[in-house]
Amino acid sequence: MTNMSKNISNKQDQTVLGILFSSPWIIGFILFFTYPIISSLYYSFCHFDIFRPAQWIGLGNYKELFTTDPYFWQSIWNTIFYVVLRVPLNIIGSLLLAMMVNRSLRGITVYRTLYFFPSLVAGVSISVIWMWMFNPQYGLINSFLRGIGTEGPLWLGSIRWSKPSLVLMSLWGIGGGRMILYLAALQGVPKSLYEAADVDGATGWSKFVHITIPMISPVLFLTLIFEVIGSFQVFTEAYVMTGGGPLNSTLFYNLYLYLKAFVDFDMGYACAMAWILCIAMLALTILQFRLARKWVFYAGR
Amino acid sequence: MRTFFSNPFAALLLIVGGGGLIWLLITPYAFRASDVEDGRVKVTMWYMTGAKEEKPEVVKAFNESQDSILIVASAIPWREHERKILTTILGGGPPDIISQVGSVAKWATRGALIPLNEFIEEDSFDISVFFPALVQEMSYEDKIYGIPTATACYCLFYNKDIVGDTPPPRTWNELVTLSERFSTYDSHGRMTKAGFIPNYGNFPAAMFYSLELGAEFLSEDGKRVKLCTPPVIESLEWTVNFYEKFGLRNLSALVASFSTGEQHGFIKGDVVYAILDNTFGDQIRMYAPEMNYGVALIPTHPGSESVTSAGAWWFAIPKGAKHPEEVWEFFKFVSSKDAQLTLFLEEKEEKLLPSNRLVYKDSTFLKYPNIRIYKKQMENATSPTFTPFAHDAFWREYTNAVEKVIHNIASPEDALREAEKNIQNELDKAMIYDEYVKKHIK
Repeated sequence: MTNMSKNISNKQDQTVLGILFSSPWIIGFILFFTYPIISSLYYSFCHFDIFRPAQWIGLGNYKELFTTDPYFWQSIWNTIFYVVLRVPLNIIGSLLLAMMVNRSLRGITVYRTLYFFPSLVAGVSISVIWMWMFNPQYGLINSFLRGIGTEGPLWLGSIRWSKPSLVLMSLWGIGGGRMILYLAALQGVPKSLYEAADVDGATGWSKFVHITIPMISPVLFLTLIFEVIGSFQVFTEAYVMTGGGPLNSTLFYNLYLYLKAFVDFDMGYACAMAWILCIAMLALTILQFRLARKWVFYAGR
Repeated sequence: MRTFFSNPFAALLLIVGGGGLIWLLITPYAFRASDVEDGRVKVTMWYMTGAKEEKPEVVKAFNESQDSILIVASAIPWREHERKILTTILGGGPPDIISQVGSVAKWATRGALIPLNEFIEEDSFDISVFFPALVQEMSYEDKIYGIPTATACYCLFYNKDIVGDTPPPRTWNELVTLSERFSTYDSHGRMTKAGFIPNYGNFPAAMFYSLELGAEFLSEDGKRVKLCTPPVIESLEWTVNFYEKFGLRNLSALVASFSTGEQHGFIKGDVVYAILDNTFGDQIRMYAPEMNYGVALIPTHPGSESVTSAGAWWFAIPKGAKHPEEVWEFFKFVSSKDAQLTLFLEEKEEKLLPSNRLVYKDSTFLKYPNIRIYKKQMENATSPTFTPFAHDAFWREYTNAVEKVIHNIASPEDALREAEKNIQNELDKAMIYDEYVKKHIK
């Protein structure tokens, strides 16, 4: 009898001790993560300008967003356009680069490092640099185009080219962490598979599609998810370089959210926007996981 | 549970954790900074800085001029300024003085500032010593919320190196004619110099055009936005005609190649006439010292007065400040003629204009270039805050409408009607909320 009670109390003790030890993290999680998120859900159903008490309006914010807001659908369109352009280009770009540096040439590590450098410059500084690159009169890009005989567009000053400009700018980072991930994945593909394919007379493209892609598909899938979620949150470039213009062509969802929250102080409205984005991202990620069963191949299954 | 507490780790964890928690709760009270230093009341102030961090001389002068109040000023980079003020007013413990630029409405409509009317009445302070536009900018619902310390006045700058002795245009149509005369093109037909670019700058020219025609943007009762009105429609029609005449592509390409500093269109010499604020006098001195330039009143309509827009740099007392009375003493000091003149003279780079009209009679001050024109223009200035409740929405929608019209995406009437609808929407929302809050608080 005494033995059994000692065991039980030990287990209880251990649980309590475990909770106590992780309590700093738990407290932090509740205070800085759970509480703000629940608050923002509550505020999304209110009129709230953060200075004064919140007024409950039920689904008012959501209704206004989906029906009468003049920029909601445009910001969604802008963001989707950007994501659809940016994600494939970036992933394919990084993959190509990774394949290019996946060789044991002499000095290949120098190339890998050089390709990696640009991705280190981020945020506001990169935006300012690219603003100059895109300058229609003095920028590098248009000067180069003039040199080969064509006239470049107004880039950031053009309604049609502003989003493609930002996508172009994002390609700056294709040699970054993603490339390294792909490189590691590529190096994990057993050479024996390629040799077997050669024996069967497979072409380079065939080897790529039937060996390389399936073998690195887990990593591809991972970076796809991150890239999609990250691209949907595009903000800094638009905030620093275009302010949403010209004519709201670069008014991305996150930027519009920011304007609503910190310029108009319409916090409840911005919370509603944030929750819509959250749910959309959740749905999109679940969809990606479903689709993944079709094309992601985990060796050893 | 007895075995639990006999465990040394658990006991230690409890003691450390519990002690830490108690310490966290006590420190704000135990270590609160003292409000008095050398028998003087300490007043905290936040001021905006750009690249430099020099404290305004006027603070030092005030501290030296008396010995009951000591102002301790801290620099906040201008990009973070608004967010920091927001956080500190909400979080408690704000500084006693904040400095801001732009509309007071954003803060005043939300009850974030302490009104100054009590102090003004007690001291019989004459608020009309400031330009009417600035007083208007500081007001909300018949209360004054800030003290304007500086302003910037928009006038017509013109490049004398290019126009020579040609007198500046006095009407908008003269401006078009002179732009035709002085625009230049290259061998491919691309514009290399623009006479004037209506939408280049902080205010679309259309705004001045419509104000001079007597445009009013808010109804008397403050409930309806009036944007789709004849003066404003006409101003946009004029703008569209201008862009059609000189070519949208030409003007956009030029604007897209401009930047700030030496790369500003007027400073580069690529724009002949431009509506700029008075600090450009200093910018030209810094970046293009050989340029001969002139300043004139903004063009107007035959028979109308020239109208400009003037915002203010201001100080205010945030809600929750601990020493409003002491701050008021400082406000009286900083808005006095002498302090204003000192503020102006000590600024080495871009000089803002004093807000106190008495300074404009001072002989030292009048020696500075173009002061008489600025003075004349300031007498006819309006505050850029037309709709206190939806101020940012107003300007966003208005500039949007102007851009749409320029790009031929919508007619002036349609663009303005839609802008009006959107601003009205924001205004209605804000008023509903405001009513709720007022009922809730009472």
